[in-house]
Amino acid sequence: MAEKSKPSSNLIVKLILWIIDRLERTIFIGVKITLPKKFLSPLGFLGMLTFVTFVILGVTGAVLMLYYEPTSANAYETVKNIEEKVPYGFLVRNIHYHGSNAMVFLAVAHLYYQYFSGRYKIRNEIIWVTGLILGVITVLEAFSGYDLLFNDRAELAVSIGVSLTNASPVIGAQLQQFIWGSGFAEFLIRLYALHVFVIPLMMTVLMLFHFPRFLVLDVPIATAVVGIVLITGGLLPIELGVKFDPDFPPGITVPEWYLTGLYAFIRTGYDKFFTGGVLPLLLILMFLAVPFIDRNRKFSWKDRPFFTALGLASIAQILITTVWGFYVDPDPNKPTVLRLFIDPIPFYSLLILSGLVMYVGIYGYMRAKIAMSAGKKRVITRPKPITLSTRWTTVAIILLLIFDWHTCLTMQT
Amino acid sequence: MSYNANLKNLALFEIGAAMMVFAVLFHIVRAYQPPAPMVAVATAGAVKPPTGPAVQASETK
Repeated sequence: MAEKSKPSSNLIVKLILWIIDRLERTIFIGVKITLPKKFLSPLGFLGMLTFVTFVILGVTGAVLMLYYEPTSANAYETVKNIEEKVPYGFLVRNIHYHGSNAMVFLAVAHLYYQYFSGRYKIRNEIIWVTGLILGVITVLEAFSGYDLLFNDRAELAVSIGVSLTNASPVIGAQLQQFIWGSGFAEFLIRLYALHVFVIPLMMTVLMLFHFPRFLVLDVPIATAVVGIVLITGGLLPIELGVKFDPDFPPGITVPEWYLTGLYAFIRTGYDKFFTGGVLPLLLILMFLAVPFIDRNRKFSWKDRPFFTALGLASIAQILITTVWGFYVDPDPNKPTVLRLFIDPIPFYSLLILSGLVMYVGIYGYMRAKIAMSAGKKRVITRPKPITLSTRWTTVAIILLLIFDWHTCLTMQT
Repeated sequence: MSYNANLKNLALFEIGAAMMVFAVLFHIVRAYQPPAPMVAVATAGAVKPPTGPAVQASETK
């Protein structure tokens, strides 16, 4: 029997213990957060890192709200004011923008890691389904965010959104009126309400159902992710773009990288509802159905060739559509519509061909490999940890401290 | 300094780099394991080996 430890006399420790004791009366005690004492692969807690970026976006977004005005006359000007005049507004806006990109990227990476490692099994179906809905809502949140800038890029995104909702069967016109309203002033205030309140609220509620009871938060990895967001912001600062003028048609521009795939589908000229709604929905439906189809007890991607090949083929499709979405015919003499048009025959041929080749090739290769290794015993090799000697640890710490001290000094002066 | 010199993106980069350094520092300090203390030969020889089985047969059931 463990001996009861002596109560601490430290006031701060007493306060923390008092809070933990009272938290037992709340739901928070049901969640166990582990701070690992050694390096863990971040792939296992990409969801937590996505949540970290969500918190950063919440904080920076709240600061931006103090200066932003969602009116068609002043939206662009207030963002320009944040960028140029508000103290540290440039930093906050860039962190908000690159944080949103990081959140979408981490959410997609989290989805695929969980998919390939078969985590949707072991009674995790609700976590999986809520995660998928959260992923879609995350993209909508990012989409509604960059529309608020009211520049030519925002106008393009809004026109795509309006035409997509209008193309919906039966309720298209009503849906368009409900979501976008009529006129610039209405869509801006609606998108603002969606971006700062409705969608974040939906995300928070979904997170309650998505979070597992056991969570891992690795402080250095989370700090590194924030560091990468800031470094990316420093290297690729977000631009204001050209203010949208309703009297002049906007120039050629492409949406954010997570929407260029959808944009490529729409630019093929086929029915917008089918290309912009049904085709992306197929991918979501595939992921939704997977936990209910894959009843195999094996978790490793190596033992599930059907689903591994399916997942890799879907990644290939996403990459092709995303890259193609960035392409615009460089000939300036052609009309804008023709420059943006994507020939559907090579586009869809490549999609179908790459999907088939990837799927059949990977599936066949994995089946052959499983058949060949059927009689052999699998040897599990663990990577050897890298350890530094005392001397090199001291040298590294001193050098890094000098760097941080120097950075702090230069920031203050 | 960078921010006031209107090199705002450099300031952002510097803060990011400082955070990366903090992450590396945290990792090194956490991963560091001090070497095991040296044990004198005479002291080590003086330690008596255990005479009986460490675990009783009844405990292993």
